[in-house]
Amino acid sequence: VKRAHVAIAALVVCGGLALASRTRAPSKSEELPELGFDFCASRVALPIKREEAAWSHPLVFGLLLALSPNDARRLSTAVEDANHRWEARTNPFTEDLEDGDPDDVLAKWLADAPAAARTAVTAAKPRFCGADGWCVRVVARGSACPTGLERVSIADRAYGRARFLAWPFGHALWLRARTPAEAAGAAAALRAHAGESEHIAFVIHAGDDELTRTTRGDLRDALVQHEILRRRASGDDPDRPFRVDGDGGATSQSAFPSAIGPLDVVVLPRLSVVDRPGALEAEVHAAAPGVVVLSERGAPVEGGGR
Amino acid sequence: MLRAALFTVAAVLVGACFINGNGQAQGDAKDNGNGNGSGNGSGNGNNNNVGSSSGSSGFVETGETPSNGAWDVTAAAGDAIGPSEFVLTGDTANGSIVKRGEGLPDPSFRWCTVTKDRNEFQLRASGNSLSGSFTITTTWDGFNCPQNQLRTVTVSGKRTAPGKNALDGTWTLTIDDGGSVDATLRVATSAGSVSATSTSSQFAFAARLR
Repeated sequence: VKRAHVAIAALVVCGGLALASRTRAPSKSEELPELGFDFCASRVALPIKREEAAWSHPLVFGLLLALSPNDARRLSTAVEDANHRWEARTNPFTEDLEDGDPDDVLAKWLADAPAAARTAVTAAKPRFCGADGWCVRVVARGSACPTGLERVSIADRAYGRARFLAWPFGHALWLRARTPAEAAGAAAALRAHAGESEHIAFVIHAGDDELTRTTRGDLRDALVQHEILRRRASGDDPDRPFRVDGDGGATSQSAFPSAIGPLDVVVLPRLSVVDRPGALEAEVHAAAPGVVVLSERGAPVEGGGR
Repeated sequence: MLRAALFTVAAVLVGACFINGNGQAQGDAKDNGNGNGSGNGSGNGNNNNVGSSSGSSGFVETGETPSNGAWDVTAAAGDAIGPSEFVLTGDTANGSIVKRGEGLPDPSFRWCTVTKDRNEFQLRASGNSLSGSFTITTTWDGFNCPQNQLRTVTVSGKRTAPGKNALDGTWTLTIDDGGSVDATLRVATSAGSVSATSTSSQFAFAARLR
């Protein structure tokens, strides 16, 4: 349970996403890129060994920008409280007098956090497993699967299960605008709409790095500090790359491409989309007309071959 | 959080059990997959029963011919669950909700790993009633760890306001967890899907037949 907050706390560590290709092309002459996610699967021994969350820059920035001022303020307070306790644990001249996990305050925040946080925490899982030991990892479209894992083909019977288990990626949408300004506008429009949406969790755009510096700078700094303190207290290497400065790029665990292009906007879903094919896309069209929506891979598409 | 997990399971199973038991799942299944041949359940299937939820609501989408078998369960919430499942056999569901911390070091006990942190349950739906129990287990391995915990709570429910079919309506659940806790579950179906909304849980869940 308490890993969820560590995840949030680790909001700083490292990774992208996507989907497929068949779709309403903006113009028939324009070739759409192969951006999106692939699933790599393997069966692991039971009991399933748990892995720490693998946060990526896009996830962290997208989540920070999705928070309302009130939610951001609450998170900021929680992070500061956690930092004080971690600091007490790392400082040889002070003592943490309280019992329990310093990150409990973050867990409490997360318990009442908006859907964006819940999607983000789920998306930060390094792998997604069924109870029978069948696990999938998400990789950027076209990337090689990690050793020992096998790509799940869209024609495979297991593809639906992979999408379900890894639903933040399996049901995400990748948008492509004609110009960077149009992409930024679409991201802003979708972000503004997400709060009242039943299907949109949060939005990722190339400008998020800069935007978090200007609009969520204090919170971003506090999260960086939190990660450093947490690592020091637990004997982990505080210098292990988790840069949030933007030039660190993604970790090897990341499902995201190395960079979200300036024309791209990625929409991560709420869990509610799982049984509502097309609902997210329809909402995106309504909120941000003019961008191209790359259809969900595997979702029913006119003439599609599933 | 415990109650949230209980609710989640109950919500999933109220839907699943009734659908299965009464064969009410109608509609053009939003069949976006083929199920999966793996797993331990009978009737691994052709339908693609999917459930999901957002915020405090959940949905169980059914295929045209709901099957018994093993269901994957996933969730999105503050205490997002680990790999979980239930097996539906007739009107009875057996399964486990594994909490996220299982298998990880316990942040509160530096030298301890949480080896088991789960709710194992058995629920049965019959007509307008639901009954069952949960066994809540938490175990640790390591040095200077807390004492292992094992306890059982019972859950019962009844439909207080019927809807348009065997599943629709308002359900009252009672969770006997050191004192009864009541909550209301609102269930609605449409076009082959079932939604359940709990009054007191933010827990969001999804279930899919393998």
